Amino acid sequence: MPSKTPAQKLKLGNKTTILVEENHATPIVSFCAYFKGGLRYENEAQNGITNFTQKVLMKGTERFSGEEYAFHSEAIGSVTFPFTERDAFGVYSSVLSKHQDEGLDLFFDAIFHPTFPTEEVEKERHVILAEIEESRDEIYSHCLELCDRNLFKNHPYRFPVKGHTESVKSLQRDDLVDWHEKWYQPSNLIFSAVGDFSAEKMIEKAIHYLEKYPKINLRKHESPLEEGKGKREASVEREKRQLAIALGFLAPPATDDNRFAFEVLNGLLSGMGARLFIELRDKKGLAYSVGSRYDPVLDYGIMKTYMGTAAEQEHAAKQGLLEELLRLRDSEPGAEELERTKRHLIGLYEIGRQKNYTQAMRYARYEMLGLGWRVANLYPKKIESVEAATIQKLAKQYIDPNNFSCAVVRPAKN
Amino acid sequence: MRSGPRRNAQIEEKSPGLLASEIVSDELPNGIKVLVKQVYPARVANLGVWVKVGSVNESDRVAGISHFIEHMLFKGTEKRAVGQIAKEIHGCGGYMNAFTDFECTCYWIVLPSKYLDVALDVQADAFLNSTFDEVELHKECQVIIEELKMYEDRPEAFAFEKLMPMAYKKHPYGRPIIGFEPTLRSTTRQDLFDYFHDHYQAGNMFITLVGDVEPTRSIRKIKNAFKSMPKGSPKMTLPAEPPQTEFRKSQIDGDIARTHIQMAFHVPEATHEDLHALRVLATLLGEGRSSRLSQSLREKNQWVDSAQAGIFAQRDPGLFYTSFVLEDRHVENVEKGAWHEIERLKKELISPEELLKAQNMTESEYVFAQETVEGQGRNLGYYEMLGDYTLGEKFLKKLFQVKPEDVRNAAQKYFKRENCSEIVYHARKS
Repeated sequence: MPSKTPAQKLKLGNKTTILVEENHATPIVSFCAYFKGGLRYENEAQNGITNFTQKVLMKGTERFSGEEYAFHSEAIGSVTFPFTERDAFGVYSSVLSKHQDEGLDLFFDAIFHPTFPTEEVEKERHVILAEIEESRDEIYSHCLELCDRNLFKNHPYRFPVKGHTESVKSLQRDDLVDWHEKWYQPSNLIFSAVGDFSAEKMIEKAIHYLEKYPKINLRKHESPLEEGKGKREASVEREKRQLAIALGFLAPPATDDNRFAFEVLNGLLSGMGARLFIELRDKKGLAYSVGSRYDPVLDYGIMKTYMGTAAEQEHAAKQGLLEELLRLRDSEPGAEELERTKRHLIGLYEIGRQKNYTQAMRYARYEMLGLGWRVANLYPKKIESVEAATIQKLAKQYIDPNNFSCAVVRPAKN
Repeated sequence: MRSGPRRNAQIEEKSPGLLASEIVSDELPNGIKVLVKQVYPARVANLGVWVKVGSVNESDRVAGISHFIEHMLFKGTEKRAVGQIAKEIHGCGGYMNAFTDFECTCYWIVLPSKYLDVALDVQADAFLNSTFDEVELHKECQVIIEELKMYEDRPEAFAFEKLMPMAYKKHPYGRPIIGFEPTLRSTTRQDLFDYFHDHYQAGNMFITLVGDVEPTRSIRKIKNAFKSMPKGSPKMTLPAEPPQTEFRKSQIDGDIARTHIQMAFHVPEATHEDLHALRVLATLLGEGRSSRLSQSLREKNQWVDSAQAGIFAQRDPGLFYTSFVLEDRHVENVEKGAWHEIERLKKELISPEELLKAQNMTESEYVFAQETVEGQGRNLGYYEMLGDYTLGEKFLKKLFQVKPEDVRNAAQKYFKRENCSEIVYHARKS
């Protein structure tokens, strides 16, 4: 029977954190380089710089041109994705274990030795501008983005990850180089690896790649405070057949003691067996797509409920979503429903553990948040301990019918 | 670092939990085939119930009915009210879903393996005791119409929906799986009932179970749960698509930000021996950033935002397709550029390095899909639908036997202008 060994953590002299866990279920190895950073540290003029920098990482390194890098990487069948989040960014990669050495070499090459060729920067700018334009074609993501923009007045969480057209146009190659130098520091890095390898050897390799860099402390960051109050509505029209609506609320941040309780609160709403689906889709037939998501990030959590529906159902959709949200304030969830929801969340967590990259990302994220990587394995206990009264208390605190963001993408009338 | 990729199929070298030989196969007395695969160490399981019925089995009058039934099977049984099925699976810490394809409908549940009994009870109840309630039917019809509109609002899906009837004039692959708003609205409870009883028969089904489960005991449980499924094995002959003899092109426009171009070439069915070389062609042309179309049209010329290629591989002859997202002013350049790359493949032999890259990419894709019980179940089901669940591994082994000449021969055989259909969905900015 393929084995799984407990994760191990190591901290290097330059403050790099290394987390490794063997999992021999499949011949796959996943790496994750997780850095604190992302949208939280951007401003209006530089919005999109993290994403832009990330996109150019693999477009040329000290050893390879962009084309060579892509060929070498794909020749070993590796899949590598740079990602940008609200409070973090990084790269993850999965590769068959027989190619892990070449995969790891390419992985660190892109992260620490990109050359940002001017021509590649311009090409990528072109692609990002196209993606910004194209994002209007997907009404759900367009609507959720509008909702964010409306939810925050001051905080950079209001920005889109890709940036906006003006900021992306104005960013120069030197800005990306400076951004890379500032943020891609080993002292800001959590490297996690999960998969079919020897933990001892993986640690050796990681040390080989990472210990040579000096320790550089990042400057302390103060995020602007959010003062947004009241009901804020935004809408656009598109020549589409469906209407998309989203309601957004501030929620507990990632490090808040109530974060796991709020995950349960969101779980009461989201999923096929939860309230929004049963009440609004199953019973009322209002939508095909309806749900809720909670993003616990560093300064503020964000909760959004959303639905795609017929244009003539806009009022019913908004009322339906609001009613379900307000029900959480009015009464505690029943014992059966609460237990069911907890089991659902814990089950989803177990299902997610099958993927090495999911587990690698979980370890890295909890570690970055300061909660410690072990929380990734304590998740079931955290969820189990949530009480019904806490959920109602949180609903009263955060789901304020007089303070939320509403975004609508409507089908154009003509 | 090494200068080039290494050759060796991973599943031959090391294959915990990946080999088809580890699958236990059995058949119920009523004819339902069962495939069980025990995998470690995650304590989860995926139960898939597959019915060999899809949109190809429909008449024009009830287009979309296979998918309609898929929705209705979650809408209540004699002992479970609306929402109860979803609640039970939700309460076990799992999730359920279903999909309808051209040739099959699959209902699947992923959940912690200790709750397998619940999954079996729910699935069997849905198959044996669904009520197809009239009121629920009308509500669900509206939900499906919203689903239809959602896809039509997505430019890529909309373009594909327009491309299929251009490529298939006779074969029902040309008709959208979801149907049309008028056929959905006119479908009656009796239609659903009749169609269900005509196709949901034991000989037309199989079950896949992958997870932390003991095969012998699990098969016993499956037998018990599905023993009442009526026997039968409906047969249907589908019209063959006549050979395409002329280039077909259609242009439409809409309020979209970027233009979409899709091109499709007729190719044989999924089990045909040419599919191995075609798979290599698809990877070479349009998979990954190093692919020829991506390098040429995106990286060098900046005519496209993205370029992809793939194969629509089914039981009957399928399609090799390419798709591009671009600024409208580059349409002509992209068309010429795509044909230039296609012609190169017809004339020149690909290098051994490029061939090996395509083989390794396909192998990785196959192994990555095995990382979850969900992926393994889907893989098993796909190949069983094609006639043999071991075909996936066989396909991979044969893929590594493909030679540069095979790739050129396949390109010459299928990449002909008269075998191509093209749709251009122009961005008309509002």
